[in-house]
Amino acid sequence: MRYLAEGLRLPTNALDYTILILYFIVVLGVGFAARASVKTSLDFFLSGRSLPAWVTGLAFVAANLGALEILGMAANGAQYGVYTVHWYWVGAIPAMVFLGLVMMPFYYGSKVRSVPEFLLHRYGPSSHLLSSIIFSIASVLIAGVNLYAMAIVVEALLGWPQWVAIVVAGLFVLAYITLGGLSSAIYNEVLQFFVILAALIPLTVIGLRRVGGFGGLKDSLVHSHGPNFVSAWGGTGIGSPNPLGANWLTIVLGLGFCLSFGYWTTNFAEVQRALSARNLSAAQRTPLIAAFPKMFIPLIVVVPGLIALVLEPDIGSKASGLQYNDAIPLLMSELLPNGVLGLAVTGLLAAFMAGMAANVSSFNTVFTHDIWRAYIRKDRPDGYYLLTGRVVTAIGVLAGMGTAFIASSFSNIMNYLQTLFSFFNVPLFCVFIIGMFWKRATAQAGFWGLLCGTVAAMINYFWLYRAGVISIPSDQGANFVSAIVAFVVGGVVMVAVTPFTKPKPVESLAGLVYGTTAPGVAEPPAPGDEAWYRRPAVLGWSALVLAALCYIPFSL
Amino acid sequence: MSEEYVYRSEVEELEQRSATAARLFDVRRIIGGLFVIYAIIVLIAGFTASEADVKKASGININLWTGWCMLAVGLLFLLWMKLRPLSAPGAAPKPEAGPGAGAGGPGPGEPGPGEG
Repeated sequence: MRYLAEGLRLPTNALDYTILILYFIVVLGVGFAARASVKTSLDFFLSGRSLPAWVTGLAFVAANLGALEILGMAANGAQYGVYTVHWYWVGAIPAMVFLGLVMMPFYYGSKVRSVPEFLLHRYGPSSHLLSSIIFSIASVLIAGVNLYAMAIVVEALLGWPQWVAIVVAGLFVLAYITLGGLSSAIYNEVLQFFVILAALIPLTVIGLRRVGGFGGLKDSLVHSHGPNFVSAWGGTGIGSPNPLGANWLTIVLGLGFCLSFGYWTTNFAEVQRALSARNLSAAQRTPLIAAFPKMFIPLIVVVPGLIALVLEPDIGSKASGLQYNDAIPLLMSELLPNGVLGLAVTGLLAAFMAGMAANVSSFNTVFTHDIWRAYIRKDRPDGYYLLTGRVVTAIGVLAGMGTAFIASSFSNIMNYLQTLFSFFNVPLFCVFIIGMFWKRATAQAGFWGLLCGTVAAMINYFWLYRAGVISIPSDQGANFVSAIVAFVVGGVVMVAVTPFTKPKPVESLAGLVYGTTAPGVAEPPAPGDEAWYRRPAVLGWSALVLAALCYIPFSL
Repeated sequence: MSEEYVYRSEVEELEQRSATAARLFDVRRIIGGLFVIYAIIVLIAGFTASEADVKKASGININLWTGWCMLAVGLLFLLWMKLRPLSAPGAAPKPEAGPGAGAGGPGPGEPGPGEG
């Protein structure tokens, strides 16, 4: 990621810049237009829980479709080959379906406004505060890393100095979220989703034509890298070496279960989109609707990575001066004429802003609601928290911009920090899932499970793996194993602590644990929700079946 | 009801005061509008494409193709918005709004916009 090759400067012209400038104007316009809809803090932080499912569903995909994700997954495609699809299928779809079908009734039905708030009601203040603080710090940090990565790409492609890119993108995100809150973040994410598609589809089409279609692509890769490179499971037997450094067991358990469920079901930047849906059915459908586009994104992200490898076989080696992360920028400069080139640049910037906006809009909610309001300034009128939310948004973006400037001199530290925070979601998922299905699990068990799971993952990764005490062939493989360690340790600690500590009174768990119902009336379904194609179970199970079918062409 | 549940009634109350459903514009207008404008720009590039442009894109006039597709997508969004408009402001009180909230009676017209 860090240093893009000099030779990637794009031959942009006025037409391309018109497309880009138009996009910035529209993004800001959405912010201004959404401002009228913000009356209460609930409007600002959760769009008043009133958006339709297709909007929140597409925002759910777009929030994850940041540019780091796009460039990184294309890079993984060029480096590891078709194994990369695991991040999209086994590593995403089951978790998204689980979130929609199993966890969303607890999240949405209990009327919590954030993922940490669920911990507060289910366990208590200690785990709540711990997870709120870690989430806030991680969000700002990731927003900063995202901004910095964008600045490098923009500098290479357009020749803007890094600070210009950081300041411009940062201020636009600041402006539209401060004005319109989550509604404007979500609306822009939906728009960004379509712009990203319009950018990547032409790129993939031309690229495929250049390498002779899917058949030609496959033949060239088999010829140069062997048959396992175009197979999802080939060479993943336990003990057999492969570039990913993982076997089928760590892929399924580590990536597919621990990491993926940790990310998709407890990352508030994602779950927040579903909590802003207008009723329980729409909230459940949010990740399920998102699962369908998610499944096909490898077609326009991983495939370009593979195409880049065919067009530039030296990519990733010192000799070429190109890194794997340059795959998509390389194709843009090689294949796109002016016009669609402007679209592609816009799409890339849109993706950066989508990723950053998701971090910022979830950060302001957690900081205002779960830290400021819960522990610092309680019981103020609603307007006070609305204003706080706006101020916190500005502070968060400015802190992110600061992080981006720091990242330019300490990029290795930033990478470590990101790895570190990625371990926090896994024990969090463990604590959630045990808390939702085991009434007896106590407040202390929640806190210690969270802490010990996280620490165990770090020990495994930074000490046992880095120092070579255990031998795992690659960072990715070590990530998968650390995630399994985090989950198991978190679970064992919870089970061990629970019998010795006092359970929460059953009345206080209504609606938070399986088998209880939230007090108050059960909500009736919205009109039209009973249609068969809107039933969460139908959507969820078809997503699972379709994802399994996706594997067939790459497994035979 | 115990103090534990204060937050729920607070969310219910905020949901009733929420202005998002009533005042937020329709995102389909933005997507449709931007795509139509982008389509026109890209089509202009397509109609004025040079030999070199076409050659660079593996022999396809990609601007033309992208332009027509984006035009179709943009118009479909505008058409969808026309056919299934958002429900009128203030219509259809949110069904999950707590006990006694339905006192306003059923909203006028078709309650759900039905997309999704």
